[in-house]
Amino acid sequence: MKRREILKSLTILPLAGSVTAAAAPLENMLSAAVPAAKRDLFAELGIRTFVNAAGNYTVMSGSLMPPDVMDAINAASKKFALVDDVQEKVGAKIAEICHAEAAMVTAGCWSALMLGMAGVLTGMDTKRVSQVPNLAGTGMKTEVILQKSHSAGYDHALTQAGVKLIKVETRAEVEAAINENTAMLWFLNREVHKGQIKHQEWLELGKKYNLPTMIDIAADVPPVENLWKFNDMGFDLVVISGGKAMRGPQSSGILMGKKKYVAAALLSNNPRGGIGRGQKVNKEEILGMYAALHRFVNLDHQKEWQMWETKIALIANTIKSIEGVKTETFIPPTDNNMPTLKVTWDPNKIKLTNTEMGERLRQGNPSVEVISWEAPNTLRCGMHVLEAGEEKIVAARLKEELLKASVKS
Amino acid sequence: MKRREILKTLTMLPLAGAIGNSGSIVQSAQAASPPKRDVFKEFGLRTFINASGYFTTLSGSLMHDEAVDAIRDASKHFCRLEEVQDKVGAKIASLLHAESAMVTAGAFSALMLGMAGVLCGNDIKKVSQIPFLEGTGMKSEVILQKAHNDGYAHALKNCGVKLITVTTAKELENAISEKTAMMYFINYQASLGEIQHADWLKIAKKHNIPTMIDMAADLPPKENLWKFHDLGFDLVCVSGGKFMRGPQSTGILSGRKELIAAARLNAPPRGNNIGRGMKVNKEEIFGLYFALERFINTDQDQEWKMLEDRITEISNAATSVKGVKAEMIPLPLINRIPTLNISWDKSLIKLDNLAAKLREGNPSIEVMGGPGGSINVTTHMLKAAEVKIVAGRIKDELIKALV
Repeated sequence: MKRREILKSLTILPLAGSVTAAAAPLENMLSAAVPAAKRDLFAELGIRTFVNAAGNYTVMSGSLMPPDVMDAINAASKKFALVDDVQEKVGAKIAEICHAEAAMVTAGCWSALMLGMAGVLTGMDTKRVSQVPNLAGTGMKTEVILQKSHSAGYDHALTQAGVKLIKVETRAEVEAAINENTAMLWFLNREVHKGQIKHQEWLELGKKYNLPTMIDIAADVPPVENLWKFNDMGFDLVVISGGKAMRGPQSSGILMGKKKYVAAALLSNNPRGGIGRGQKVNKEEILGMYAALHRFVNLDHQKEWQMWETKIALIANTIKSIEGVKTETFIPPTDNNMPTLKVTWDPNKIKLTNTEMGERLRQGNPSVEVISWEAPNTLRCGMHVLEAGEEKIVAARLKEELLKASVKS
Repeated sequence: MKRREILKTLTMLPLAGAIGNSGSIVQSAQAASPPKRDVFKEFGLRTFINASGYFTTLSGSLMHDEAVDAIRDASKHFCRLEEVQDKVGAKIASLLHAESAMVTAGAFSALMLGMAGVLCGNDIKKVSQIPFLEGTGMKSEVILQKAHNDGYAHALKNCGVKLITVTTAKELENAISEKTAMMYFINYQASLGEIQHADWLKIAKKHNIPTMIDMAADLPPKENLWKFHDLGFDLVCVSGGKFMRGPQSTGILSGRKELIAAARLNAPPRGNNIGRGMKVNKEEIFGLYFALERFINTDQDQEWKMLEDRITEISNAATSVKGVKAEMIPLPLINRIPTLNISWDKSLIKLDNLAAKLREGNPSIEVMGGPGGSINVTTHMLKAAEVKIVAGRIKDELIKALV
């Protein structure tokens, strides 16, 4: 509880004579015990904070950590512990929750991709650990197969461990591409609808040729079940971001799956040297990640969903009577699978491009970020990143800007 | 202010009937924050008193309240990560006499990102090609002294460069070619190499080659934070989670403006680059900045004296046992802080592994193993009340083992 809040509580007290006696010493003690007025670090550095009605974007600092997570971080900061111990014991609990043999916390999903890849390549051979990413002549395998449509930028993380990406479209092409250099079959869950080969068939191919499989589900919770679904299906490694809907530290992620690969991945990671040493994750983040996961699996997800829909309704109802404005609920099918409000407008009735709209909301007070870069005369608002009550701000600001740009008839 | 402190304060109030009303505030304060979970206990994690040092495996250092408060405050609002790096970076740069600075996920990350920046300049295509330099037109070699080739230079190799080691100034001049990307210097091993800072810089200037110095753990003295910029190094890397006591997974890359700008092209929130996996969040960036500010404002002479006083207390306790010798060791090359070596006459005291006994005791204490089964103790990571505990535990174990 902050001093300001305590003082606010005190002002609620009836100011009868008998109470002032108590209030006075309390306030004195508080001002003595509490250091001078707290520094507002955002104001001090002139950094724009904003109402996030967009989503869990890394550039927008991901998500806000809930109090459970901050408490864990705070508690973790008070004592020394071995980083290896923390990884091992927190990893075991995470693995249990997610139906995996083993798990580790990484510095984000990208880090999980790279470390998992490194683990597959090196096994428990520390010499190999020191050779990654220079695989030539080391005896390590050098190729990863994925579907062309799954090559969406994140596969770049695998190449940092030194492998070449072999991109295919059909089952026959997979089978033709597999050779003695093939290290792994990689799958990007987000693009499942675009690829010809789905999860089961991909796993079947892995089994048939005795090749490890990895799936990237970076932003694909909710549904919460996705945390264990792919481990249950039989993927050898699953990677996920911690700082998105789970609301763990923005710079955290999870690598989980078969024990032998996770143990090997740990060899390339901090506190050891090797390709992952720069991807440091501290005990505060590891315990914070766990607290976030724990909170997330225990959330009433149905209630959350309803809350988002209520917020969408409030904003939609505020703006839909404006001439030329249309609103609808849009739910992304795989990643960020949560209801968002899509607003479109008739450019003849409202003279404002999507980019201009984004900029006006950004420049307003309070500053509001929405998804304004997807389509002409369209914007989209994410509800899951809003703090309580902020939907009213978003509704009012949208209404204001839409009305201002309306053509007077 | 924490709940426990508030409650403690409130219990000091006279419990007269007249303040019954204000008592209800306490209850609402209680309702607001449920009992804290003991995260260490929950996982059965061994916590310990750290009389060893700020080693990464031991989870670095404990952050001061300023840093933890900054982390908590930073967690309350959304903002753009790039803006945080811009503005915190500018403040850090001005503290460090540098043109520009950025917060990284540790010193190793600073080495890698600085290297990547040197290689790619402002060419986005090159950013995506690192670490596979062949055929890209990027330079591919880094020169360093043989004596400076410890494990940390591995960070540079992660960007795809080859390390060329030299011993003499003449060898250095001969090694420079059109492939030379950078000349790298590791500060803690300076005295082991033939070429010192100024000469290293002179030769680099002559051939117009960027220079980087790694001073990861070389605080105190705090003047090192700006000394190497003042000397003329183009890039300086330091760890944030050691003596500075910022978040354990942070570091600083500081130096020439265009090189820092290039390094940032390789770092999150941008993707398709070598640094995307080295994430550092806004909480850590703010936490580091507050730790740095506090560190610079600390009276380091007074702090040094405190470390020595603590050493004296522990030394006196240990040497009160017959056959025990305790002496300060000469400052080592790395982690230059007062360090006490405690050894004993093995005919009087039968003790093989004091470090293990301290680790297994309650509370658990970590010290460094010294030569011949002796131990090395440092005091900079101790909380005030822990000095007595460490002194007492060492004395107890030594007495127990007396023949």
